[in-house]
Amino acid sequence: MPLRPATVLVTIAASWARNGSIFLALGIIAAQCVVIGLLVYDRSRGRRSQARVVSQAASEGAAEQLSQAVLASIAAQIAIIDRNGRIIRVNAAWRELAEGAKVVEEVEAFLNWNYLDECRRAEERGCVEAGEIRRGLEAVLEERVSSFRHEYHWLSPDVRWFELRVDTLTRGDGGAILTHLDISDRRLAELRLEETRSQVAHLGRVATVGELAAAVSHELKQPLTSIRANAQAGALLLGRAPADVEQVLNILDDIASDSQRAAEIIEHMRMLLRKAETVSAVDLNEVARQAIRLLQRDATVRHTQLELMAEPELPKVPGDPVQLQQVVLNLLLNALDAASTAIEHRAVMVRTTVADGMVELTVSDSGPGLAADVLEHLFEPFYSTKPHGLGLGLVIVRSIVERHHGRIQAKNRASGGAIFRVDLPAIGVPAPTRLPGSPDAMRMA
Amino acid sequence: MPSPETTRSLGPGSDDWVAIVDDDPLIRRSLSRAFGAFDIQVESFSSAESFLEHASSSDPCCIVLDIQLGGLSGFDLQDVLESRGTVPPPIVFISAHTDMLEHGSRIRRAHGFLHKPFDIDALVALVRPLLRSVPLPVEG
Repeated sequence: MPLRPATVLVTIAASWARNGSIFLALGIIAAQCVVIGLLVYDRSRGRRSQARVVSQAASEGAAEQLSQAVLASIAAQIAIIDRNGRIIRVNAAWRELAEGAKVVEEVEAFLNWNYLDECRRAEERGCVEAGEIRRGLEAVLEERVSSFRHEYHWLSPDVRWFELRVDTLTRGDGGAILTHLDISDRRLAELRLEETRSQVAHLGRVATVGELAAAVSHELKQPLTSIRANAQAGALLLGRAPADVEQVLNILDDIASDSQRAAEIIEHMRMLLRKAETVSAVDLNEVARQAIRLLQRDATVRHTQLELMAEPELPKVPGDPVQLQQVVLNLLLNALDAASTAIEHRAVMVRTTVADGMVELTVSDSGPGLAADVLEHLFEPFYSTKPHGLGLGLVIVRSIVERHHGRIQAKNRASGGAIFRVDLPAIGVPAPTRLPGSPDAMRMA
Repeated sequence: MPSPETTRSLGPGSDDWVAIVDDDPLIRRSLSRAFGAFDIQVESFSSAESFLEHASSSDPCCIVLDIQLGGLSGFDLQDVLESRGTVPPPIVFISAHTDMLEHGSRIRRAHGFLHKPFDIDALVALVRPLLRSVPLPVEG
């Protein structure tokens, strides 16, 4: 691949030039050129000594040939630097780059240039990246660390990523080996994965919203049915002589409360669909109650008991009520699916408690429980045990819980069925065992 | 088990009445009123079980039956009535669910199917011919 290393060198030069360190860039290219020279010189010197001391040269030459061959076979651009930062050897890829770049032809692959000095000069011109690289290289040369990695990218003409690696050279004289690696393929793959993940999250949201919309529109038909029947009955009763005014007044009362009920359902739907995240003090008991109300009919149709055991003194949790609602709804839908496969006892239990400064919400079902391989992949995208499942629900659930500085776990109950447990930091409760690595959780409390 | 709600006292042995089976109390109340306004006697039940328990002495001339109910579903009740060996009372299914394709044969066996929210005139039009003594239509 002769093109790729050339691109990399140009890129190194160009990206640093972009940062106002054209001299460093030129310097590196020049240094790369110098390295070639040294390499050629090394080779010819090797040949000369071979002529003079035949027996010693035989083994030295073989070792030299081997190391040359190894260096040459490596696609990455490699330069060897002595303990002072001077470039003493480069490989073929580095040389090719230097030649291909044709920036400074008279300097042989930067050989004998001092890489550290070049970095310092670039730093003086304000190149922050060069400073980072210098410090990393110094740390390796002074054997404070054994290696240093620096990743950077170049956006034009196409997006490329590179990694500069500095590793200790294990030999008496010290020094370091400097490797430039084009890691674009890996980074692109990572980026694509990230993109897929966010698409997955979006899809999941849409899927959940779709389910909610179906549930809500179903709910809405109940008050609409009775409003219509009441209105028609009222009209008939008023047409009678004498009109049953009292009955009509009752009817109007019912119509008013039914329309109120419909408005609440719509308001709830609007809340669920609202995009902006809001942080408020959320009562998980209320969230659970609303979720149960929304899915009660689903549960009834499936002959499944839906129960809530709410801790009366439950502290509130800081968070987005809509997102937390989604968490509970998703867990409940899964639990209902699981419980409805049971033949005898079909039950789903939501329970809230408080422990160690965390509010705990569990959803347990009387279903068959989770198989070991299912448990393992439970929170992975596109993993689903349902015939038409997208495998997204729990991915979203976990991401929401984690955004709220909480955690989610799933396991099987000793008495059968699965239990999902969500722990969220509580407001105003002393927290002896706060989640590790979540300083925000402390702040929010 | 909730007891049946009677909106109109029934004469002894009268079978000229309509049963409403729906788990939503507001639906039961509004439908009972609407039938009342048409002078059709109704009795409403919150579940299929409650209907079977209380309506065993005399069959209604028609059952207005919600499909989704707690306990036995509307379809379950249809099965029970059809397996009794006597001619089952005609059923008018009512449901908020739009997709009834998979239940086509059940719907066809019923006297009618109405999608919530429905027009009360449509329901009365389905029920009225089943009444043994057809009450006169109420004119303004």
